[in-house]
Amino acid sequence: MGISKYPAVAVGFALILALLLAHPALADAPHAAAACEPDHQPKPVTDAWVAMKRDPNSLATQLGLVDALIDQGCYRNALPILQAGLAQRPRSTELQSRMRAVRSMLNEEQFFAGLGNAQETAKLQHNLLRCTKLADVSACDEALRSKPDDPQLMIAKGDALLHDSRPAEALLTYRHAADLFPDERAPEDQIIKQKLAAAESQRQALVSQCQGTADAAAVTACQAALLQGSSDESALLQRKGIVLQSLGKPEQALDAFIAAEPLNQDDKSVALAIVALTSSMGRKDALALGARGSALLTLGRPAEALPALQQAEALAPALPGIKAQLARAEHGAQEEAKRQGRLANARANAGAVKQPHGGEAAAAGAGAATSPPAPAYSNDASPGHTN
Amino acid sequence: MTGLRTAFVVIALLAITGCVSRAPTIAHVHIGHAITGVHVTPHQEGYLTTAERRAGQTVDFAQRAAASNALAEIKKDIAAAVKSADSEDDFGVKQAIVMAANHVTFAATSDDASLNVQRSAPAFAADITRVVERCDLIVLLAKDVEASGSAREASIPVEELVKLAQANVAGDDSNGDGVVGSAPSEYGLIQLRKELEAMIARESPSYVTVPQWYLFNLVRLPNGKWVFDKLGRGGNIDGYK
Repeated sequence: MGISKYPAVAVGFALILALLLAHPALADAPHAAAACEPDHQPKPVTDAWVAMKRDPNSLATQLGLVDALIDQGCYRNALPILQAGLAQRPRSTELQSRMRAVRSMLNEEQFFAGLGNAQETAKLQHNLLRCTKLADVSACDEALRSKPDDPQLMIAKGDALLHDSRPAEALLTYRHAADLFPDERAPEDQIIKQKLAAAESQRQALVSQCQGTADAAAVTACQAALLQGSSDESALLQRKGIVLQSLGKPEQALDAFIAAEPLNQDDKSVALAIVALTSSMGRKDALALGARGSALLTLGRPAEALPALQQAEALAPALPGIKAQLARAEHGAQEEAKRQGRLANARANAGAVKQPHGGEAAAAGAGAATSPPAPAYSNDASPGHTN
Repeated sequence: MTGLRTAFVVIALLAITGCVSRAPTIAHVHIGHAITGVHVTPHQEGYLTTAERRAGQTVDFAQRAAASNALAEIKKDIAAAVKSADSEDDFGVKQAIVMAANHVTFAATSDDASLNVQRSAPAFAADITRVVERCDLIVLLAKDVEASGSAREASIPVEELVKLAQANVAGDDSNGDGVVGSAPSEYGLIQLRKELEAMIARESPSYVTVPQWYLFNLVRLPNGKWVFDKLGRGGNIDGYK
């Protein structure tokens, strides 16, 4: 009752409100041109704003501002001015026709945005189709970029990987898909379990191929069966290194042994392979030097490990574990030096005791005349230690 | 005197019965461009009719490709299907339906547009999206066919392409509710025509088929106003198509 009693006041209030709202609306509009932003408006628009603030109820100033905004393509900003103006003058054909034009332009903007979206949607559907029907793993990845948490898509990628004989990657992907289903009792969970079993079965077949043969296919099988965190990870890497070495690919073999080494640091056969391959190839990158140092430590040769580790640290100070290994090597080298010193002293003392009986030279001469001492054999040597 | 009176009565009756016709509204002429005829289309048919004709051709070519075992033939038919679905020069389905939506939007922005047309036009423009998406997807699948090394390899994208082409005509049931075309996301051209016809049926005063002279002589003046070209040049002033 109160407001309807004073329609002019109400409409004036609405116009002022429209004026206040129009400015922030500029920044909100997703497709607003630069000219629609408050700080970048051209002079005709700012002049029209000034006139509008001076006389908000005049049709001429309303139309002036609306036209200035339309000229700049700021349709979203013209809308509240027109709405307020039409509330004041509902029969104004000038306001009505501008309102139609503004609404049309806004609809058109939406329409063209829709067409752009249609193209993106078609691309996504194409990738989904290639992923599910053609087992195209790269299409799965493209689609997952748009829908990263889509469990069905993740399952489809797992299927594509399995189809591509990459069961280890498929296992990881299915596990990820299972995490995306919140309910463990969901029917999809059962399906994923079956798929995990199928992937593990395919992986075991590849493990057998990796361990039972020694050709290029075996290398591929070792790689495809390799599953991070699995109990056979180290063994597969080691086997891959051995097969690669037998195929005359020392560089790749060394990479495989280097990858296996941190998984089983006490494995002397891996350590020996790394030492032999780094010696023969002379690789001097931080990773190879670090692995060589670590392998020499495993073999109980800290003094030899020290220079390799020092070089590795100089090349890559952030190499994981390098500082700890370096400290271990320094400590071991010192201990070895002390042991050597003690041994030398013990020998010297032993020589001094023998001196009254004809001296060291006499002992050597006597020794040469007698048969050499029998070599001491031991069963303590590591099984992998070969020449 | 009696003769003069008779002549007057006859003229009055003719006027009442419609022999003296009025020009259609500008809004209705734009709608006529969408459904009846326009001077720029191949057979001077309405844009929606062009879209329907081209969609039918897309299905025919795609089905012919699906029935073939010869890769060269498959590729040729699929290339023709793509041309029917998406061609700037020959009014593909995509171009024709976008033009139909544009003209319905023009209708809504005409000064004489009814509230019904003003309200229905944005919905129609939004509802053509699925048909446009399918056309875009047909183009992408055709590239897969083109890259195929065997008829067997091509068969999967061809099969999908046939489904899309058919859905562009009749709609699909992607939401699985058992009803084809139950939502705009499932629409084909059949549903879009129904939507447009429903809009026309709601018109008051009623929509009547627009005579060809009006359809071909609507022009836009530089000030944005729509008028009929009295010289009847069938013009295309200010880029209006």
